[in-house]
Amino acid sequence: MIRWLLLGFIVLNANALYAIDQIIMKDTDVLEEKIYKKHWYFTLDTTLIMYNNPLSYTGSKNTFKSKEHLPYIGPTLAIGYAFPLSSSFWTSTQISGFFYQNKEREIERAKEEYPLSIRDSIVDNKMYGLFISQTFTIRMKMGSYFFEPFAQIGIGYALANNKLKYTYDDLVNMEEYYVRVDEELAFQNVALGFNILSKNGIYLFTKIQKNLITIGKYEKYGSERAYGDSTFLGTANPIVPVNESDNFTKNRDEFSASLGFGYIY
Amino acid sequence: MNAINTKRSFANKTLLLVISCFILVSCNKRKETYIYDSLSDQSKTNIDQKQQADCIKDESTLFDNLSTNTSEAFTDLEAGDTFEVKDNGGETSKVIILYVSASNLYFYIQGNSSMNDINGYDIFSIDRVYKYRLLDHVAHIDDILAEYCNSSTYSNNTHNSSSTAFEYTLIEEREDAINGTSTEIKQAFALPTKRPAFFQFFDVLYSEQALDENGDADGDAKSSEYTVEQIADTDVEDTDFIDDIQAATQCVFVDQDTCSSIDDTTCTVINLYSVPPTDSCQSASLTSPLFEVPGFEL
Repeated sequence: MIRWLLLGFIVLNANALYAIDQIIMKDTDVLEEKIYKKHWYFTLDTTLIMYNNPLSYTGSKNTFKSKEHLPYIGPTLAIGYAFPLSSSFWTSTQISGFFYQNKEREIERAKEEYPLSIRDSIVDNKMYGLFISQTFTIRMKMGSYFFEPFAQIGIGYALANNKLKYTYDDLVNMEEYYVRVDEELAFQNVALGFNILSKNGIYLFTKIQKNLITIGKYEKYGSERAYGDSTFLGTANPIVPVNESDNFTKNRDEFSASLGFGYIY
Repeated sequence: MNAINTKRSFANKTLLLVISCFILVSCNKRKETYIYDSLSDQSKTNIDQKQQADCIKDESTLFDNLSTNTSEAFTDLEAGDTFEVKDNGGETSKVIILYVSASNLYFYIQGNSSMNDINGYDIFSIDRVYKYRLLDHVAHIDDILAEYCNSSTYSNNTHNSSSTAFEYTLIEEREDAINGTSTEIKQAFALPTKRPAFFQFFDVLYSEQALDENGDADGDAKSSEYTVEQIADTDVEDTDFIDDIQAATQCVFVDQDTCSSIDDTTCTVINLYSVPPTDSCQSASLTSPLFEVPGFEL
């Protein structure tokens, strides 16, 4: 997983590395001029958003409870277009894509020299989707940098899936529970934050955001095996399917916070 | 220049910040523990069984190859081939090939009571002649595999296979229930790829290391070692040497039932191929030849 994320990071930032190289090598005045004109930009940040995990399971060897306000964390990549409304007041429209995750794994193995998995539980919560946002920014010069407080409003659509993959097998008894919940989410959000913009067009930003999340569809599916003899003994209980779905509208208020950087072209 | 340095510093800090964020994202929570000791006895037994079965399954190809390759030992050796085995105290003994056919091998081990007795192998205590069949060789390889995979006795075993030798190490932790102390026993065998499996007893490093309560080494390790090298051939028809053979104990690598069917009252069983051999070859006088070597008679 780490390798894939680092690979993703390298791919996403190839553009930024190129941009930074250009900044170092190019004449500063040219770049400063771009900052004062309408421009394209992109941002990349790490966002932490609170959401829930609706999955719960009560077995003979373990119990998993549903959790509220669980921190999901991940990257958001955005591209936008900004233009000045006056010399110090700007607005921009941007579209962003995001992938947030909260994953926990607990493994109990037999022994180091024979790491047979006895109890293995993976709780994997993911959320991914798109936002369209409008941002209003005030630009204030502070020394060699600009300080830019901003307000942002947006709407978005996302999919959330929560997986619980649990198995216990001590070669005498066993139980299993592999279930996934898929949800469709609609977002409305408002955010407040600020940029610290250098003259060469790179900026750091942070923001906090309040999200009204509307859950429109809920589907739960998977399988489970009730506690009983281990398959090692050849007399295990059968695997039975788990299915449950619903269409409803349920609202949640959740906060998120972001820290990242951007670059003005 | 200062402007460029400022830009570079800003860019570096920005990248550092974002990389840190991504590493934070990448570090999913993961907790891993080992719980064997807390499991029921039945679970432990089943896990040990499965561990041995998995190990045998995983390593069977390697051992099959070893068995196939080393069976060439019976055609690769010739009567008169002689090997010198030396212990770490400088004491030596000779191993002499007496007779070789496609399915049988007879070899003489010269007794030297001053040789170290590694872990009760009792290989060099007295003069012996061994009958060692191709069947024994293959069974010996199987037994090495079973011992190698015997998780209830050994742990963290390792092996290394090359074109010239198959090397493996058995690691065992023995506990002294009275003193509450532990000793780690390591036995590292080297089995040349074109030699009978029995030859593993001629190239072995044995060590004992006392462990403290944390499982760390406590004091110096005690070790014994045998090394082997081929030396100048022996004239197996030499009269004095035949006398030595006649006085030697005869050992056969077969089970008791097979031994009785050999119609030889002096047949002594070495049972069998385990590491170390579980029964030793005790003295028994020779009353009839176990084998015939062309050119001379016992």
